[in-house]
Amino acid sequence: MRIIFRVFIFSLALLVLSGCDKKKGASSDDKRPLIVATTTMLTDLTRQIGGDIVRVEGIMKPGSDPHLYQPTPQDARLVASSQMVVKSGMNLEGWIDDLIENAGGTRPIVNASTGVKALKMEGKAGGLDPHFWFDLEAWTVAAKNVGRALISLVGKDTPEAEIIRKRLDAYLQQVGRLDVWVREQLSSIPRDQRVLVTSHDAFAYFGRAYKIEVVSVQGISTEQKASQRDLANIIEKVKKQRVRAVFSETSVNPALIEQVARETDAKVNGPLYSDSIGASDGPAGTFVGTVTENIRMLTESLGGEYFPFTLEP
Amino acid sequence: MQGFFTSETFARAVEFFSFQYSFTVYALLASILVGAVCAVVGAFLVLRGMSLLGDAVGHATLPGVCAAFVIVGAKEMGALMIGALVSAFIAALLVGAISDKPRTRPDAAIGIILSVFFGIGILMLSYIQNSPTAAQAGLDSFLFGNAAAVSREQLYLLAGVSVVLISGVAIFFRYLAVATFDPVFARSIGIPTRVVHYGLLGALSLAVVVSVQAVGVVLVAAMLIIPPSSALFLTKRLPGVLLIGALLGVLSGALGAFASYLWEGVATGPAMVLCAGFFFGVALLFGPRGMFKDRGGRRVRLAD
Amino acid sequence: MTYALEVKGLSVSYGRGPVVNKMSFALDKGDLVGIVGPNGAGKSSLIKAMVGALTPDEGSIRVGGDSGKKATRRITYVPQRGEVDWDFPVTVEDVVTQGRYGKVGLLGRFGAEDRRLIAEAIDLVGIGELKSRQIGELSGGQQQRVFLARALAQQGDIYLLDEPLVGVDAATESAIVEVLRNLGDGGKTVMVVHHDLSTAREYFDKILLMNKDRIAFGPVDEVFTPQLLQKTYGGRLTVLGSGSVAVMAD
Repeated sequence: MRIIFRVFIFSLALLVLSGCDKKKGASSDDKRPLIVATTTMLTDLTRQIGGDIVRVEGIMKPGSDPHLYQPTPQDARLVASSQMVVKSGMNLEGWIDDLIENAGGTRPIVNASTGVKALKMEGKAGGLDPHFWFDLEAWTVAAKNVGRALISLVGKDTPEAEIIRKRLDAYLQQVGRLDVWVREQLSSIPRDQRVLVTSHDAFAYFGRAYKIEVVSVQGISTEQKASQRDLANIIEKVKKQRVRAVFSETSVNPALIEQVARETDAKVNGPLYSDSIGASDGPAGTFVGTVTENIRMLTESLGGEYFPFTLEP
Repeated sequence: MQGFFTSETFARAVEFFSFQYSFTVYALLASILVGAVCAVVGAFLVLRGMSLLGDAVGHATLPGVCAAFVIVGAKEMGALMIGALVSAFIAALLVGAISDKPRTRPDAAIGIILSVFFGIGILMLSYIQNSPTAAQAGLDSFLFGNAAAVSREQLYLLAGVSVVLISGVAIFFRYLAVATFDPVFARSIGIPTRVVHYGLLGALSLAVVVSVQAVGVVLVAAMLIIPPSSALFLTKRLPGVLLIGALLGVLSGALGAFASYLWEGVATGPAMVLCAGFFFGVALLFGPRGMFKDRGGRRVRLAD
Repeated sequence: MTYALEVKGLSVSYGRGPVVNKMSFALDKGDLVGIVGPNGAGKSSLIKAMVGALTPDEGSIRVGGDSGKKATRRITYVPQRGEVDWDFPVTVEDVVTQGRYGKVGLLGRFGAEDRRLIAEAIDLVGIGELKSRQIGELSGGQQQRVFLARALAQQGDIYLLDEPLVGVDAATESAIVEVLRNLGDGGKTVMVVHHDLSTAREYFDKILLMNKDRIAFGPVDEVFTPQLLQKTYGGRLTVLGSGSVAVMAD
């Protein structure tokens, strides 16, 4: 018994010591302003607009779940050494407010979703659905919010501000073009197949913007527990409408959606990127890439005709 | 809450017995099995005064799951379960080791191990979150199982483990009974109390790891404690405690599954535990060894 | 010569030093022995070690020439009442039945002989009409008798009892003492941790005085002297005029 005890204490000590390391810290040589963004979508957005003028660090990594994320002391240090924080808002990342408060000092906080026409959460009284980013029109509002804040940060009449303005315009153009392309792709899906069945309610804004019916097993937060009745309702719907494909997500446990597939003729496709973009070395490494990947998976699985996104029409 | 008992509810209730969806059958069977096996193993925990060990062991699966994920590099169910089992068993052993030391009681040992292991697990989760692989979705949801998500393979595993554990208890009943009731006497007649002790911890770890999938970690602890505790108010002999405990566990599981089928938003696990709690209340109040028969807790003693 | 029970150089410790220090004694068949000493003298630990529930640091225990596991199987044990979980779901009959587990084993069936021995043991201690009661329903005296019955059902050669007469009524006390005497007359060896100095002389043939160490062992008249008692109990003893002694309560 004594031996087990000692081995345990020893490994515990090792573990604690090894935890004190890595992650991005403030490098003193780099004089550029440090912007901290919460979600991977916002990290990419800020980088696209800010370019080399700013240094952007994201708190979350691809594949993690912002609803359940637990910030670390390194995250706190990061916020404390930053010149600006970009958050998604609408209560997606409750934890960032604590980090900001405890960081001390002042810095501009950009709520990227300011001005976005919010959707209420289904079923609950009050409470907003925070998953606005797949409505590309809402995304442009966020881009402008970030752009404006960056310009303020570097000074309105500086050459850096001019660069940022140009980058913002280019980005808005790209997103505008993307929006058109998304509509084209989705319209090639047979009308009765335009149903998006996913694990959790991350696509309501997408559904509203592009007139796709969106159904989910778990509801808004990945913490909610589904009852068998909830699952049965989804299964009924999938059967009735003969939906061909249901979709898992990168940051959510797929067990429930797989259960839907087992009970019906639908196949599990995806995983869709819902609360995060993809790994930086993959096709979904940017927000735009993520959108194209999602649309590709949707279109191909639901019987539409997919052709790749290009900037030129 | 709009009408809980509408005609729609009644229609669904009838529909339940048509078993048209396989997944509801799996959920029902899983809940029943969890109820039975947890009651049988949990009875011995309760009688040893180590009720919350189930909770500690459940939470202690997290570091094992994370370690397995890091080692294997992917969310492979088999590896995750083995990882969970290993760390669960180690935690159980450590509780035994700590509570053996002078000045530390079992309840403190349980609390210490629960928080330390779970804390390590959270640390490891953070570490995994920060690594570039985007494939770790839902690692902690290993701990937050849902009966509605139980697959046929999971059910087979649960059934197999349940049969093994329940048979094990039946076969080793005399050893378990005496070693729990009077360990000194047990040693004196040659019962290997150490082996019995580790065997029980191993059984607990197994029961917890397979049950967590169906009901989640906190609820596993409840199913280990509540049905056997109810049975203690209903019978005065140990075989009865095991049988009635198992029966109550099965009933709670079945009713919980039924409730989850009837209503949206009612997950099976919590419904099960509510049923178990209800039975406990009834047993406490009206059982032959319950509160009122016993004059509020004091034993009714015979005159000398 | 082969003794019924022989203990040599037995030491038991609990981490803080020995609670039983190099204990040695030898008992013959038919001996009825009382173990006497102050609280914390290691009396309970001694018999737990003899029964195989505590691992001694050193020393040996021999029962009629056998040692090790074989020896401890021939020793039956009656626990202190305070150490039992009275809420445990067992009846009187269940507990006495446990006495046959050593013979019947994990999966063996109970034969007619086993059943007879169980019933006989229950009757011998006089709790026949209580056999279906859960043990918590019994009075103190009745509870004590249950565990004695279990020991009787074991049919062992050696009986070790840990303070069996604490808090029992007079009727139970005499009943138990009579059972023990009969055991001794029948050639069994009985050793009892006894709490009450005033009755020790009356109940036992031999006395073991201990306070971690063996102070004295032998026939009761030789051992039960004021000097030896003084040595055992230290300052807590008072010698009264008539030669009898009184012990201060701890």
